[in-house]
Amino acid sequence: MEYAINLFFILAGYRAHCHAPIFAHNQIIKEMADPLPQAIVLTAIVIGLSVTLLLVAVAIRIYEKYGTFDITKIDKLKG
Amino acid sequence: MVSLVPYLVIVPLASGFIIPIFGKKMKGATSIITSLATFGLVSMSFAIASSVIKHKILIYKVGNWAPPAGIPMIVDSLSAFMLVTMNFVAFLVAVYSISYMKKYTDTWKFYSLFSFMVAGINGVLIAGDIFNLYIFLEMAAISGYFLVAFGTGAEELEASFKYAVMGTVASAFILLGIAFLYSYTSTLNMADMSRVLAAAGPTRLLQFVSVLFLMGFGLKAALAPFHAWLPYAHSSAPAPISAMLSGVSIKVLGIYAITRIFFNVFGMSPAISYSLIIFAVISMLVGGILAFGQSDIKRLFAYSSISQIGYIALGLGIATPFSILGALFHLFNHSIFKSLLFLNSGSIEQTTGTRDLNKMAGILTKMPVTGYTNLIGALSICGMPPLGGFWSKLIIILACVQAHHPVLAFIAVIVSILTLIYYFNALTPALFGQSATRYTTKKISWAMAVPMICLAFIAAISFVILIPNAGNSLLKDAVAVIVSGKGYAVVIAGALR
Repeated sequence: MEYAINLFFILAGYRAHCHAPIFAHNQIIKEMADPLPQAIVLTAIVIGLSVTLLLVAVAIRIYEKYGTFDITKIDKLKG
Repeated sequence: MVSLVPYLVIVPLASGFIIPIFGKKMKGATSIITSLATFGLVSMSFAIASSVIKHKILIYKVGNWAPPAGIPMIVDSLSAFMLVTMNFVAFLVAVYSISYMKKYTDTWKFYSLFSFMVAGINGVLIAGDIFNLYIFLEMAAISGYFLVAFGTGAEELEASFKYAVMGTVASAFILLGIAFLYSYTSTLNMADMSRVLAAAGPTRLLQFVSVLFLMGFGLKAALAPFHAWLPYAHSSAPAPISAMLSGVSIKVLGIYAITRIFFNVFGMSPAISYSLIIFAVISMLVGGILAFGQSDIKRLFAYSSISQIGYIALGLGIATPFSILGALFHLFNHSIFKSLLFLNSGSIEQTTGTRDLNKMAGILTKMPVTGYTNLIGALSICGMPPLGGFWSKLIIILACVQAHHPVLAFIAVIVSILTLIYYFNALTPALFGQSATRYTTKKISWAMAVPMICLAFIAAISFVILIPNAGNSLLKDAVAVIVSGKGYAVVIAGALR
């Protein structure tokens, strides 16, 4: 789901036939691509990665405690 | 004063990174560093608040780039009001942890993550653009997932997993909303976005984004249909973290973000107002009814949090100046007395070794400090007259009547009575009953007693901030910021000039 949202964000920043917004000598850029979505998506990917790692780590510890990945058997919390 | 603003994030971040360096060698130092850092934050937020009262708004331009292209850090009256409340609670919780966390191993990880959580919360409050708000929100939320699992028992891990999965879904909704908004307005700065949206007029897109944000931030705030993670997370976490999650996190990540975006960026519309009211009523009723029959003291407090968040959302949903005053005041009261109650539950658990209300009795005689502060907190949340909780609920109920919503006023009164009944049912035997419990002789230390006494004192006298000309100028200004709605963009444009 996160990847779909990241892709959507990149799409929002996409403009056809554009150049990177880097200023250099002897070069006039008429149509700039929008650099912001890329920076944002990079951040979002890092956040997504850290959350995924956390979830995997917690899942491993859950397996140590319950001995199963069956979600119906992980039910010490009720009500 | 403006130059002080970024330090609200820098100080806790620095303490979060310094603690792992020294943590393994000097065990005692970590808790002291955290307490000092949070104390610094409290003094800074008071200094900033007094400056905000004078100047109304402080804008710090990161790297001296002018907004909307640069990233601003904005403290207006609403942020300042929240900053003072939240940092104060965080400081007292940090002091409480010095003694409470001794039973855990590897506490330096706790203090490091705690600092990151505080940094994230302060960051959300001073963020001037919507993507920074998202990043800081994630920072606070991810350290929250870690901290819920800190005990690494079976229940803690399960609760943390549930919280993390639901929190991730909420974040995904929020990010999608931001993507849509960015593609429509081509800006991330909230003031600039508000200006563009006002110029473009109402669109379908705004409705869709409103739904996404209401789901995302509603999940963070634990409004009723999205509340499922809260009772697990709040009851499994270590007591200081329950206090932080319930007293600070759900308010800043949920309620503050909803307020800022829906009032100041989108402008309040009847549709959003009604959906907030509907969510609020469901939360109040669901939280109130489910709290019955809870034998675990922390689960009881957690369900009551859902119910009280409903009151705050109700006040915001009605959206008259008077009801918003009630909502903000209730927010203040709730963060004080709910953190107090969770800290109480921690010291009860430490002394009696149980969280089961049926197994504890006679707390008032055996543990006078915990017992009496708990009594004050519980009476305040039930709405006993001289205490703070009474006035905020009264204002919200009167505002319902004033806005011609007698049914809502009736529901608010009913839920208030429900609250009284379930607290009375649950706590009377525990506090006053004949002691059959075996207490450990260990007394709670000063580090745990002082924060509880401070919070109880504030919960008892919090009505003073309602008295005109005494302390309410900040509260009044905060209400004015919310009421001004899209005037926010104009104010910021004016301040930048």
